[in-house]
Amino acid sequence: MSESDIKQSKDEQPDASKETLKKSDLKTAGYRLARVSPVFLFIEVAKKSIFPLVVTFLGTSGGLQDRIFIGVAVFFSLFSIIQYWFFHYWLEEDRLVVKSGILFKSLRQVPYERIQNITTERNILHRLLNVTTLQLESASGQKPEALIRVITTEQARYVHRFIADKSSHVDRPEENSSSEQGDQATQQTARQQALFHMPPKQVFRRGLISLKALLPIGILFSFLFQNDALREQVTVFLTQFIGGLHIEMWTWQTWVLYGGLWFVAGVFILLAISVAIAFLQFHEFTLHKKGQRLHIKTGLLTNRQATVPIKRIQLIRIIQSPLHKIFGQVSIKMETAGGVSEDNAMSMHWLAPLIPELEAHDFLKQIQPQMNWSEIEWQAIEPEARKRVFKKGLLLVLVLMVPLAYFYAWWAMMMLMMVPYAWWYAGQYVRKAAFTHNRQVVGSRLGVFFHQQQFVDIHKIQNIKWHQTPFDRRYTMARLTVDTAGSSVMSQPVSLHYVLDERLQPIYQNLTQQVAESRFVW
Amino acid sequence: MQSLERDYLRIIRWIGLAMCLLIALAPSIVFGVLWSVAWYWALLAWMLLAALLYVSLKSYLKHWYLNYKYHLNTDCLAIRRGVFWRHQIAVPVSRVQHVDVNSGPLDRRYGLAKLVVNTAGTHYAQTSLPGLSVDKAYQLRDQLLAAQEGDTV
Repeated sequence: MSESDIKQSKDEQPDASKETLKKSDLKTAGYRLARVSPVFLFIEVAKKSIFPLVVTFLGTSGGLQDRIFIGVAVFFSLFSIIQYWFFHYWLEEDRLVVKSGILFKSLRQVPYERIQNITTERNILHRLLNVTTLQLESASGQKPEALIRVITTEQARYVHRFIADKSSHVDRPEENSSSEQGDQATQQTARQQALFHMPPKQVFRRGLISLKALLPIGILFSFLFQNDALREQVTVFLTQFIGGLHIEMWTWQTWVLYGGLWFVAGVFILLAISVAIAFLQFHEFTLHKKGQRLHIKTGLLTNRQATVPIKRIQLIRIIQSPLHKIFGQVSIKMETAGGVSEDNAMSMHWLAPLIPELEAHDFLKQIQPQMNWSEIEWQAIEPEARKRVFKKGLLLVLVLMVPLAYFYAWWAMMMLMMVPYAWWYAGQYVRKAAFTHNRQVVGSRLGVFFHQQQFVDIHKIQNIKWHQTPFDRRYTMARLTVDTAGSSVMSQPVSLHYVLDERLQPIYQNLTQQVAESRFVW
Repeated sequence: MQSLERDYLRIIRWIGLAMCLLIALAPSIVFGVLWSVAWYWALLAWMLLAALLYVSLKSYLKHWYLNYKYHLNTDCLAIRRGVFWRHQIAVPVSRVQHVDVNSGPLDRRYGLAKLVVNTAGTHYAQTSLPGLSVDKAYQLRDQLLAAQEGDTV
C-alpha cells in the first residue's frame, strides 16, 4: 500500500468521521484502525482480565453468583472492543491528533516535536495479518502519548516516516523491514555491527539463571490448593498414584531413588519453562547504537523494537544473583526518564539481559563514552557498621521468635542458632557494600547474595537528601540518597549508607555544587 | 541559614494540642466504657492525659521549630530539619520543575504560606517549606523561577 491507497482508505469513511467531527472545528477526516483491529483489542482486554478471571474461577466455589459476576466482567470486556469504531487519528501539519472514546470522548493532540520515541510491536498474529501496533512516547508522563492498536504495516511505516520527517527526535524506520526475511548475509553483518547481541546460547543461559518459571508455577500451585474441588481431585489423584507405588514396602533406597527422580524431574520442568520464557523475551536481542540513540530489537513470537535516546538513561543497574555468579555473568538494566513505566510491556528496560561480567564495563563504555567506567573506585563503608547490621539481624530473629515461642514454647530457642549466621551475614554485608563518587558519577554497591551496582550520572540527579537517624548519630554516621527521574517507587534509590558523617558531609556539599552547576536535559 | 516565622510555632502548637486532645480521647472512652467510670472522672482523666501529652510535645515542637532552617542561594535551596531523625535536603535550582505556594486556613490567620518545590525525581519529588510569611514565600518562588529563565526545557 502506498500513500494513494491511504488516501483512498481515508475516503472510504468520510461520513463516519464527518459526523463526529462536526462539533470541533478541526479539519481532516481521520484514519481509522485496521479492520482486524478488534481482534487485537480483544486480545488486549483478555490479557488484562484473564488473571482476575482465573482468580475468581479457581479461587471460589464456582456458585451461581460467581458465574453471574464473571458474565458481567466478560460483557464489559467485549464492550471495550467497540472502541474500534470510535478511534480516529490524523496527521496535521505540526501535530498528531487522536480522537477516541464512546461516552467520554477524548481528543489528544501530540505535537510531533514532543514525540521522543516510536515503539512498534509485531507478534506472530500481527505478522500473519500484516499489521503493527504503534506506540508514541513523549519525555513526560507514565503513559504513552498515543497507542494505536492496530494499523496496517504500510500505514504504520507511513505514519512513522511522516513523524520522523517532522520531529528532530525520531529516526526514519529502517527500509528493509523485519517482515521481509532478508538474506542471511545482511543479517550476519547487522549482528556484527551491533553493540550487543545475544546468541541462543546466552539466551539459554539467561533462562537457567533467571528461573522466571518459579513465580507462575508457585502461583499455579497456590491456586490448586485454594480451590476446594480442585484440591480434592488432586489429593485423590495423588493418593491413588502413591497407593499404586506401595509405599509401605519401600526401603530407604527406594525412597532415595524416587525422591531423587521426582526432584530431578521438577527441576527439569522448572528450567525448561524458564528457558522457554527467556527465548520468548530475549530471542535475538540486539542493541545498535546509532548516533545518540540505542535501537533495541528482541523477542521470538512478539518482535519488539524500541529506540532509547542515550541522554534519557537516568540510572544504570548491574545485577548479579548467585546463579549469575556461577556462570560469571551479569544483567544490566536501565531506568529511563519520562517514557513509560515498567508495567507497560512495550517499553524497554534492558541494556543487556545477560553479559559476561568482564565485558560489562567495556559495553557500558561504548554506550556512555563520556563516563570513565574503568576508573570507578569503590570506597568501603565503615567496619563498625557490622555491629549495626548484626543488631538488626538479631532484632529480626527475636521478633520471629515471639510467635514461635507461643506455639512451640522452648523449641523457639532453636532460632538462636541463627545468631552466628546473622553475625556472618553482617560481616559480608559490610564487605560487599561500597560507594563511589567522582566528577561524573555517583554509585552504590550492595547485597550479600544478590549483588547490585547502581550508577547515576551527576547530570541526572534531581535532588540530594542527607539523613541521620538517632542510631546513625550514636556512631556519628549518616546516609545520603540521590533521587532521579523515571525510577519506580518500589526500586531502591542510589544511597550511601553507614558512612561516617565527617566523610559524608564533604561529599554532600560537593555533590550539591556539582549538580547545581550541571544542566538537566530530558 | 534562616529560621521559619515565629508564628509558625503557634500554628504547630495549636495542631499539636488538637492532636493531644484527640489521642487522649481514645483511652478515656475505652476505660470509661469498660469500667463505667463516672463521666466527670472520665472528663478529668481525659484533660489530664491531654495536658500531660501536650507538655511533653511542647518542648519537642520547640526544638523541631528551632532545628528547622532553610537557605536559598543561586545554586540550590537547602533545608535542614528534624530533632531525632535529621534531614538535610538540597534541591538544585536548575532541577526545579514548578513551585507552588499554598496557604491553609490556619496559615492565613497568621499571614503565612507554604512553599512546595517540585522536581522530576521519583522518591522525593516534592520538597515543602512551611511557615514562611506570604511575602517571603512569593519572593522565594520568584527567585527560584528567575534562575530557571533561559532554560529551554
